[in-house]
Amino acid sequence: MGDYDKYIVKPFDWAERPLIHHDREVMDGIGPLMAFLNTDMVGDADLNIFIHHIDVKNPPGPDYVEMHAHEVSQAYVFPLPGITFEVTLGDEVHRVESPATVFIPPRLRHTVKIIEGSGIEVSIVRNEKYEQSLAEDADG
Amino acid sequence: MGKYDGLIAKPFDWEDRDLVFHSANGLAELGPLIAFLNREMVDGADINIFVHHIEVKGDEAPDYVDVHTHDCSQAYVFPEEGLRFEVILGEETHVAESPATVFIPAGLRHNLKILSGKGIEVCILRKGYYG
Repeated sequence: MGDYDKYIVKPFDWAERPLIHHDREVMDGIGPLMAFLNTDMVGDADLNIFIHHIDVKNPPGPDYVEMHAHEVSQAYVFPLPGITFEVTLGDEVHRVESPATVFIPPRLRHTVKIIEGSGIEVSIVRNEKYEQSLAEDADG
Repeated sequence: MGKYDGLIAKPFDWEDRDLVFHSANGLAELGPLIAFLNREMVDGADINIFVHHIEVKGDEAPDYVDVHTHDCSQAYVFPEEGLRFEVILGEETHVAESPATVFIPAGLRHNLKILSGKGIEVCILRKGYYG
């Protein structure tokens, strides 16, 4: 054991745990959500990272997240080809094919919907716990 | 054109562009390094993201990065099974297998070496540029 073992963590299935603004049952219907980094996993982490393993068997995929905003920035990263998704930024709806990144500035209202395909989505929030990042009265 | 079009970025191959502390040849030997987010891709971005597509073909993978530090935190994310890597954190050397995350607090000396396997690494730096 060293001083820094604590910084290497194994992901786990978020399973039935709640995620504010998200319908977890519907979300899990297109694949498991894995927690890769948060302050429960690493006490001083200032990044929150989830990876959603996605496989849409009956396109288009379901709605599972309400419009919401964070007090900090966020990025959706689709690292591999194979997914078509729709992202709402303020009052604009954009349809995008992976690979792609969506950067969401603080307080911009947003949501995402997977239209079709399979692959992974990496969600990165630039602070600690996901819930602590939420903004109640957002822009856009 | 909408006012938020600029928030959606298409990745591109970093190719032979400089990356401080890193050997471009060593990186390329393992596979392409793809830029997914930085402040030049998206104005105002305060997160830097690379995705490295990795395949160790020979018996030994190259060393491609010097031990270094950043003034902000960083995370190496290995999303799927299939990679074995060695990470230096301070004076400690750890070997781990994917899937895994390595969180690196601001100011902690670190290094990464891929030992074997195939997959992707997502490198996230908590500011808009690598350095």
